[in-house]
Order: sequence, then structure tokens, then C-alpha cells
Amino acid sequence: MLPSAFTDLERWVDPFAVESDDDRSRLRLEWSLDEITAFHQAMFPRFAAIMEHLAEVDPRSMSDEQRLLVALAVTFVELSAAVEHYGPTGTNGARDIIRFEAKHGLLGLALAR
Amino acid sequence: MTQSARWARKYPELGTGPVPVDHFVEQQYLDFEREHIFRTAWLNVGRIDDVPTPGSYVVREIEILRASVLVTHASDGVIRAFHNVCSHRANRLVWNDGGTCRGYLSCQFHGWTYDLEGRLRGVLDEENFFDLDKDKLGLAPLACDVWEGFIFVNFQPQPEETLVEFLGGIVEEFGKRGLEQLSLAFRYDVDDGANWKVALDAQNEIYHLPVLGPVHGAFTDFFATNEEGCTRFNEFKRLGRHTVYSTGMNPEWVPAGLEQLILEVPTTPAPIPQNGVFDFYVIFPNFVMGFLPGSMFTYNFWPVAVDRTIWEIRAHFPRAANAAELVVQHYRKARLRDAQAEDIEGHENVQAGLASRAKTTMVLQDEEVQIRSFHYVWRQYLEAARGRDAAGVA
Repeated sequence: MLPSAFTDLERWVDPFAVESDDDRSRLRLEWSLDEITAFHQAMFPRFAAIMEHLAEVDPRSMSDEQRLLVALAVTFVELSAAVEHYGPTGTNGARDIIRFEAKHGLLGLALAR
Repeated sequence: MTQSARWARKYPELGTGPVPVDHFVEQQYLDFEREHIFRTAWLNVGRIDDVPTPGSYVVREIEILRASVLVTHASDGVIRAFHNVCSHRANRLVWNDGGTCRGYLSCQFHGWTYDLEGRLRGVLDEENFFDLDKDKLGLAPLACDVWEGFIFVNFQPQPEETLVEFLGGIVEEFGKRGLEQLSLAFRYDVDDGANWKVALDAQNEIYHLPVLGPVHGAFTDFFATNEEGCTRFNEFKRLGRHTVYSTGMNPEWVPAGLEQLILEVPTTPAPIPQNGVFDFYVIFPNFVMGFLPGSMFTYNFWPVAVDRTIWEIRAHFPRAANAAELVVQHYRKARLRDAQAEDIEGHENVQAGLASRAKTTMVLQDEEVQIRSFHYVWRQYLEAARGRDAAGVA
């Protein structure tokens, strides 16, 4: 579950609240641009409130709810290029993003010491 | 000569003619690079973030030299590097990528144990060996030094130059930048189907920005350009064998979309002095430090074969003070990663074109001067090696 202030975004948790770069890249390449655009449009007006909420959260000691919200927000910011930059080209982005082998752990937390 | 030819006039020794391309595709040149560049130059193998505390260690595979390097941070605070090879029967000592230990590392073959200063401290069934002198059986050391938090090693038994001598003008140019404000936040490895110099060349200019893809296009809007939308450096400097180009910011740039929201999120300031809004340093042969406001990225281009490279990409930011800042850093990381993903196809298409032998040279314009300078230095290494060969001293 997301923090109570963001229950309106609950419907996007599955499939978008994922923690690995690989999962986010697969979402971006495998979901339709229409689906990604719908997610983008739902998240965009809520982003400032999400950031305000997360500004009070230590990334090194997050509750499950907070971690889920971070995962959703990270997917949003990573997929935004598909909508804002690639959308007009009819693609979701360079397919080679899947070749970037992440070494920084889930949500980048392995290095965010 | 072009109308401006700013960099050609500044560095006439680089010339303006076409540059041969056979060294991108022929094995003999990779063999030369192995022995005369990678085995002699100081090579960056990471940053203090890789071994942040006493007891930490990291293993780096240097494929072109068939070498596995163990970097340690011992209890005396010194960063050291060794061949990751057990003195017993030359097994790899450490089999994982790194971590933290209690000051000792044991070989998983027969349990020989070393401290992080490289001394052999324990031998299983020691009495059954013959005249074993543990003092002479420590790990084989590599020359290792740290500059501005970057860890370098040198494979020469007695390096011809110290690290500071090797870096030359970079040390003075860099001054004290305050890089301790930044931490390693993200790291990617990309298996790139191109020669390492093709991959580096592609990053060594931003002439391609308006053309290569939509994310490159967004960066083009951010940078200063001429009336055709082509980027123009505000500075290019040769610093011995190393170089830097810098680009100014487009004063009319207006953030749009998510970028606008991102800029409204408070983040930890990291005032790193820069020449422009984007500084791109190349430390010969294969290490890059790039600076954008408040962040640094680094590249290491590791040759694997004449047409294959591991492109190691790292992004550094201030330690995220809160989860919102972490999200912002993911955004910055992803923008850069998206641009790099647009680059990959370009690297591999260039490699295919070069491998076809359709062309024997490439043609460079004035804003591609950093490529020209790199190949000028590369050729100096080649000529020096040929000179030594001719003199029978190679």
C-alpha cells in the first residue's frame, strides 16, 4: 500500500512500482506508449506532492509504504522521456537501455549509503 | 581552414587533415595498445567509494591485460593494489566483486590467508611445506596511487612516471574542486560491440547532439549553439596527453515538462567549479570525467577485443539527504543513460562501417578537436614503440 495521502495512485502500483533498472527498462520497452502516457498523466500533477512527502523520508530507513512510493516515483521519472521526448517519434526510446547492466542495487540503494 | 578554426589555430601541431582508421579494426593495434599503452599508463580502476572504509576491498578485471586487480583499504588507511593471485598455485584469491572483511582474505582453493597489506599471514598445513618463507610469499603488488579520490594503478614494475607526473597539467587545471561533496550513486556496465576508441571518440565531441536522437536533442537545447543549432565549445585545452572541452549554457533555455518540476525539488548543493556548464575531461587513455552542475559522471572504456568494449559508466551526486533527492538523482541518471543508449547504436554502426574497410580515413571538423588530440597522442605512443622496436629495446 502507498502512504495514505497517495491512495489515488494505488491503481498504478501494479505494474509500475518496480525497484530494478531492468524491470523499469522492460516496462518502458514492452508497454504501449498509450499505457505509459496514461501513467505519466496520472503522476505528473501529483509529483510535487510526492516530492514534498519524500523530502521527509530517509532513503536508508524507509517503511514499506514509503519504499513503494519511491519505486513508483522513480519509474515515473525514468519513463517520462518516453512520453516527453520519444512520444512524437512513435517509439518508447532506444532499445539499448536494456543493455545497461546496473550495479547499484534496487532503487540505487546499494550505493546510497 | 574553416572560418573560425579556433582550435586548429590554438593547437597547430594537431593538423587538420584526415585521420587513419586502420587502428580501429586491426588486431595488431590492439596488441600494441596492450603492451605499450595499457601496460604502461596509469589506469583508473575506481574511486575511494569502492573501498570507503578500512577492511573494504574491490576486484577489478582488466581484460586487455588478462589481469585481475585487488584493491584494498587496510587498517593503516592506505589504499593498495595487488594482482588478485594467490602465491600458492596462482589461483584467483578473491572470487567475488568486493566487500568488507575483518582484515584478512583467504584463498578458496587451499585457504592461504593474506592481510589487506598483502602479507601472507596463514598457510593451511604449513608444516608439510618445504622451507616456506611467508615473508617472501605476499601478494604481488601493483603501483597504486590516489588523486582527488580516484584510484589509479600502473602495471609497470617501476613506473616511468609518478601518477602526478602522468596527469601533468590536469592536476593544476583541476585545482581543488571539492569532489568529496560527491558520492558514487549509480553504476552501469555496457557490453559495447565497438572498438574502445570508437566508443571514446563518440563521446569526445558533441557535434552529433542535434542529430542522434530525441534525448540528445534535449541536451542540445540546454547548451550554447550557433544559429544552425550546432554546439560550440567555450573552451578546449590540451593538458599534456589529456584534454578537456567545455560548453556554455544556452541563455535562452527554458525548462519544460518534468524537468521543470525536478528543478523545483530542493537538493543538496554541490558547488563544483567548472569551465562551462558541461566539462568533459579525457585522461589518456581510457578514463573520462564529466561535470554537469552539481554532479559528475565518469567513463572507463575497457577494451575486450578489437571490436568489443566494456563501457563502465558511473554517476556521482551529493549523498541523497532524503528520498525526494534520491528520485531526482534517478531522473538525472536516466537522462544521461537515455542519451548513452542512443549512442550505443552509433558506436556499433561506426564499427561496422570501419570493419568494411570502405574508408581508410575519417574527416574531422574543428569541434571534433578532442578526437584529433586523442589520436595524435595515441600515434605518439605508436611511434615511440616503433622507435624502441627499431632500436631493439621494445
